[in-house]
Amino acid sequence: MNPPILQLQNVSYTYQGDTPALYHADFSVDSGERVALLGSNGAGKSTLLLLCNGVLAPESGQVLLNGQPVVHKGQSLRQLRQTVGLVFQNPEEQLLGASVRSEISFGPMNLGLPQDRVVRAVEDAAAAMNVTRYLDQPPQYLSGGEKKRVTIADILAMESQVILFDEPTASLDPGHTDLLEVTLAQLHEQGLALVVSTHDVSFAWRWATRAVVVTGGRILRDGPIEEIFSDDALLSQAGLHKPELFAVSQLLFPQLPPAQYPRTLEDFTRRLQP
Amino acid sequence: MLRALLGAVIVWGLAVGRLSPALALIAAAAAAGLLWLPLRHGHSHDDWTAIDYYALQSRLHSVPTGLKALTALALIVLTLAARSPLVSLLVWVLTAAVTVLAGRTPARTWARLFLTPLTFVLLSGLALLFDVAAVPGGVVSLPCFGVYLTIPAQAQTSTLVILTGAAASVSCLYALCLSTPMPQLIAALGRVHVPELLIELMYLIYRYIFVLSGTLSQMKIAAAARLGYGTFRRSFTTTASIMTSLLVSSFQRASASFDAMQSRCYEGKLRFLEQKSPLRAGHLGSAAVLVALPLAAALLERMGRG
Ligand SMILES: Nc1ncnc2c1ncn2[C@@H]1O[C@H](COP(=O)(O)OP(=O)(O)OP(=O)(O)O)[C@@H](O)[C@H]1O
Ligand SMILES: [Mg+2]
Repeated sequence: MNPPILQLQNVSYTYQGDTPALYHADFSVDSGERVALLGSNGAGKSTLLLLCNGVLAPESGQVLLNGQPVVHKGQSLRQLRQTVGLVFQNPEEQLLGASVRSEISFGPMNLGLPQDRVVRAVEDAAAAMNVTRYLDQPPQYLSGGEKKRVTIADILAMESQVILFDEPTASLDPGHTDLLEVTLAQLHEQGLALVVSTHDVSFAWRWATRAVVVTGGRILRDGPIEEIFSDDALLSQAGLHKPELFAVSQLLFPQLPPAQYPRTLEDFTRRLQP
Repeated sequence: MLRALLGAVIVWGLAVGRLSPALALIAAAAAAGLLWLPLRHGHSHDDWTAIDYYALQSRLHSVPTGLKALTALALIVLTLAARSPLVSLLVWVLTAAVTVLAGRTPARTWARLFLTPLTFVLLSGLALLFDVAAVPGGVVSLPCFGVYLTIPAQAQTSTLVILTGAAASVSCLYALCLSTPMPQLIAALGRVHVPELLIELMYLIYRYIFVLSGTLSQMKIAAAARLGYGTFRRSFTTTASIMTSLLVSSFQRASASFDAMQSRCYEGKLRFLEQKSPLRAGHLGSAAVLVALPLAAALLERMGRG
């Protein structure tokens, strides 16, 4: 059996002082997975994602890429950052280029790809995220949802195999959240592994198959999402709510296994009709 | 207001002794009226971002930056070398026409932007035009605290040359800035081997001006919502604390942005893909005409004189 694409073994990290932001974390992602990272504010979700992408170096423990330990420098680190892309929570922090084209080209240029491949990568990524129209505009005049799509195109252009999203829905309105879900579905179809940190449990329930619960810098549970939402003690310990659809389904369909509960409202109404 | 007054004084100073006194006064009044007009429409607070915005909308923004920069430079050099109000006027009209008619920058925007540096130009015109002398002389002498403010005829000529030259040069620069977005201008500087560090700095400043000014305006609104500007004293302390937190948030933002750059394999060198726009014969031809017209005027004038 192949090793997972990305694996964190017993990883700890402390910013300043002596309370670690993350301790003894074990986590892995493999191709095609849809993982929701759940936890309250300050739980350590962003820290975990930064460690996965190699922006932070683990204080102890190690990160493995395709089974090989990552040395935190040079080619090995570059390989990690290319394979595992990170979309930052706030687009303003990530957007750097003076035009959308140069913005998307930043990653592939840093990878040292030849000019014509950069051009192709930028155009493909822009087309996939539907931002081709804006290629020659500066990012500051785009709307929040468009900026988000550009930041995703940034990562697509690097041909990553795993994409990490730090709270992608936080600044989006419902319409843009729907669009983002469509985007996530497209990326999933291309076989990418996706990890999304979120506070939105309904979104997590609709979209993810696996959930990882973080609280106080520890990974409390990692498993199928229906098991996590069935565990009331775990949810209250992590300060999480149960998705409403899930709670209602528990009352209405006690005979069903939780994995078969409806995930969307349409699904739910269909289930109610005889 | 100040600008209209200055304009009137300067125009009168330039005209007096050359035109009949009544005509000079009428010219001065007309100048004041013209300079007064655009003010009545109120003005926008963020002209410096407006330039960038209009540059993007310009129909000329796909013309190669190098060609535009070279044309503007050639026209400025020509204006300064010709030292002729007529040539300056021609350059001024041509570049304004290119900006407004070919680039489709709204005429009112152009006028507002053009008037901004004009106050300074007019102020220096005042200093050039008037002389202080113990005895009356020149075309006009105004007694003033025991001495005389005079306008020598020679000063009239040189002031006219300098003022029209300055107006034409400003118009040339606006033709460039209002048709070329900042990043393209910076990229063009990079191609002529301005040091890389400077270029990267310019990119980052350009990018973060928008981020920081956005944060600043949000903070100001938040403070105003909590009556932070109620009294003069209060607005003073509010402004001070806004500036402090802007500094702190800039640091946080810088560190977050650095993380984001590193996550995309940044290793100490900013590298972007650049879009090159093709050089078209039409563009080249128009640029040639643009330079040829004032050049011909300058040569003809010189021949006529000599
Ligand atoms: N740059 C930093 N310097 C110092 N401490 C930090 C820094 N970033 C995060 N921390 C601390 O580390 C802990 C975990 O933070 P982290 O950002 O990973 O949480 P999170 O789960 O992403 O929270 P949120 O939902 O608010 O984004 C918090 O206690 C936070 O205060
Ligand atoms: Mg976070």
